[in-house]
Amino acid sequence: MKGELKIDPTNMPRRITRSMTGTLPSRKPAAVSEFTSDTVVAKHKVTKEAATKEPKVTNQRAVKKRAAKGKQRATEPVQEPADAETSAIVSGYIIPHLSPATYPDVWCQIFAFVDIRDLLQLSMTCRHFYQIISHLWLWTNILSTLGKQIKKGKSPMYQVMAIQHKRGLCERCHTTGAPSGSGGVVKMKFKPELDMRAQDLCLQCRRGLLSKEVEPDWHPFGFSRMITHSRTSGQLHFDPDNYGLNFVTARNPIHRRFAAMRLFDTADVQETALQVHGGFCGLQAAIQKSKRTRETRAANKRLKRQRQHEEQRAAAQSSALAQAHPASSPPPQVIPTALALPMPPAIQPAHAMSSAHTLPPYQTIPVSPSHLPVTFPMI
Amino acid sequence: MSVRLLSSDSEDFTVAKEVAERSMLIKNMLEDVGDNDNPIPLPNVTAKILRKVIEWCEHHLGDPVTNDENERRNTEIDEWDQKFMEVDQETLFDIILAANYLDIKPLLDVGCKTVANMIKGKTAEEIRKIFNIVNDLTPEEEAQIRKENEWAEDR
Repeated sequence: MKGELKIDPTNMPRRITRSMTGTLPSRKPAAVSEFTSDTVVAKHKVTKEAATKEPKVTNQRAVKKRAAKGKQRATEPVQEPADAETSAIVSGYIIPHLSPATYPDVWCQIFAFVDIRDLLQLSMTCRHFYQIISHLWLWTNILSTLGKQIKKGKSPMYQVMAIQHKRGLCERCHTTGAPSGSGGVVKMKFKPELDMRAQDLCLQCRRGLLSKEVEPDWHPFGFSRMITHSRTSGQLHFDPDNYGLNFVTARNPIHRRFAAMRLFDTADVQETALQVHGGFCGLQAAIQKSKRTRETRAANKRLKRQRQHEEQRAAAQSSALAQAHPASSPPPQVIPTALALPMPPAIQPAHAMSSAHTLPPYQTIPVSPSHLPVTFPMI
Repeated sequence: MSVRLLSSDSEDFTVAKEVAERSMLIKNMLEDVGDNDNPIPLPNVTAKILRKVIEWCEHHLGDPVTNDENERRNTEIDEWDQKFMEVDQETLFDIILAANYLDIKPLLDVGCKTVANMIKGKTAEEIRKIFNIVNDLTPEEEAQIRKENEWAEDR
């Protein structure tokens, strides 16, 4: 990760730079001197230089143009030598010699330890940070992790593309997991004393954090000291047989001839469940997934039953019609009620209408030339 | 065996070879030059910063070199390093630059992590205040970047 970030962002492919300029067209890209206008020092220097180096303009038109842009020119940077020393003097940062203009590679190394969300906040601070961050190899790495093809030609910046496809992306390792359940990327909350904001993390990253007890305390289901095998797989969503947990056997309470109960230690089971699902948030995701699956199954079952019922009714109707009509003439086709279109209301004859529905008698409107909108001259 | 180091302000430091060899730059130089009594000039490091760097190298003399990416990416800093990095911003950035120049990766990592922790969880405005950054983005540009980075907003 870090090795990749060591690459100097100024030596990035040209295409990115071009799209970069397309994003922020109002100023020139990646010029060190652009940052010189930020400070008082810079302004002094710029105006001083503008006063001393100003070439004489003989053209009247050029003079007018200059007068119009006078104010803008006073604040806009003048092309200065972009050597490190000059930019160090005029930079607007408290640590002038570590301004992003002078040491982009050092900032790149710092950014390797910063989360994506913080990086995006950083990119909103100033122009140069925006340029460094949008050129980080991180974004191409994310896109390649997501399996997104980077089209040649006119396309948005890698940063924008990566953010567009950011859903379900781990904030630490930038990988994706399962689309749902504990195997996917889940928002993990931390203990308030840790002063950490919630993060979207994949299963591996969550498991890595578990040993540090970062999650808020949880009291899952108020289990007793022992827990049965079926309850473990049903409520904690993992099979304890796969993890070699110790158990004791007891007589089956439903019937003495049934298979003996296997009772596991609740503390062991809970600890294993947290490891399996990557914390309590992972366990909740697994529970939600199973709940959704159950609901979908029930809905599908309901639909299937309804469809079968409709088919049976249609078959019964067709058989009834077949019995009513002789075999010589083919029975009229019965449309299943589910497919039948609603019939329009029957049209009633005029004499059957009530007085409320009767139309008023026709009225003749006298047409005079004044009623016509336009009068044409008679030829 | 000891090595002499010469800071940019011409202060002479004599340190143990093992301590000096925490820096890949000095290690390579020593391999190239061989045993020599002449001091190694370090024109990019002042005496104040070199003293700090030597202090760090002496404390971390026996540390194993880790190549585990996850371990390196971890932003946790041990207690001694946290105290070591409790300096003003200028010194902190000078240490980072010196570590970068001398090629002392673990020290560079500690410095970068310290700065990264200063940034962590802060808004753009807070970051500007911390590093005294002047916002040179026009309101339109700022709005555009905010639109691009909408994801960062839904915290």
